[in-house]
Amino acid sequence: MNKRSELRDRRIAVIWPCSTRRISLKSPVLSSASANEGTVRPGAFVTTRWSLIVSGGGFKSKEQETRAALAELCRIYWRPIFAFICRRGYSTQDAEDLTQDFFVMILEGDWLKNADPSRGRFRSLLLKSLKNFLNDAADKIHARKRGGDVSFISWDAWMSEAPSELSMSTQTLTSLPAERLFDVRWAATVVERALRRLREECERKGRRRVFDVLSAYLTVERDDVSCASLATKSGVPQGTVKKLLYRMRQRYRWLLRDEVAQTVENPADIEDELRHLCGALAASSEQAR
Amino acid sequence: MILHGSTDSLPAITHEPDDCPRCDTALRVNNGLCLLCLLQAGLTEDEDSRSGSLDTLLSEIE
Repeated sequence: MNKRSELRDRRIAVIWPCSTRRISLKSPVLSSASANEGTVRPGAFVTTRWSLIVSGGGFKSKEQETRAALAELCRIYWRPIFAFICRRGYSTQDAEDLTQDFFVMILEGDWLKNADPSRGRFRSLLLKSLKNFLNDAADKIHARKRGGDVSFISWDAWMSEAPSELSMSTQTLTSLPAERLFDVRWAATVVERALRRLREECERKGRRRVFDVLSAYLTVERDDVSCASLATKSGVPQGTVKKLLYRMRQRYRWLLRDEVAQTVENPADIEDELRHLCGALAASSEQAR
Repeated sequence: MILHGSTDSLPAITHEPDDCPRCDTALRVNNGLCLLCLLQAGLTEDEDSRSGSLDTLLSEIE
């Protein structure tokens, strides 16, 4: 087994340079998002990961909590970063390595201090940092090939943990600049996480079938839905289907906004962030025509 | 761009989906759902979207 394979097979961990301490990217998921679920008034996402990071920056006492929140966000949003690097022309293998190196730089260094989180959302700050990081990527690849790195992300674990089903046409894919592809991948991550949480809520009640059947109608106009047909498919009384669909849509919207809330400092920014991502998707399709 | 590699590399996400009849985009996620329509759904904020109401209804299904 070569050095690169050995590194890839290791557990996710970032070794802090000046100590033996490790921080795991698989650290327990922060309680903030889940703790807020269902207990706060609508629209109020009290503690989000990004607001926690922003408020904790510079405070020694909050360092561990801040880094855990940052690690969790990196674990969630690795796909946009990887896609951006691939689009910049790197081989898949080099893109995997650079993605790992980028996270190491973010998590072990002074990124938070230098990045000034108060001046941007997590998405835009990450993209800006990624561009800077890639400016001297060639040196980084050479350093890695000489064995001068400490890299340790289990790539397969990340992919299997939250598989993505994003699909797009070849024409769309080949026409997108790296920044646009980054946004498309980001939007897909947000949406897929919200859907996954909705599915898990149904599963916890033993109603996976309800999710499988009704989730296909989350964005369909009410007039286009045949409750009788859905009742047959889902095994739920017809009168309940309509109510379920209404509440599933409502719940999905909340979960989606909660996912976005984790990446912005202020709940008032959720709307803007959603509009930015919607705009990026619409522009992507235009670009492909 | 290198067109081979891990299962999450760029070519793995191309499946030539149809355009969405509502928004005309061709970006799909889970089971062919339209990514843009799902994202736009978030622009509507609900007055009451606590998990309790869905949970309760799911529990009441006979």
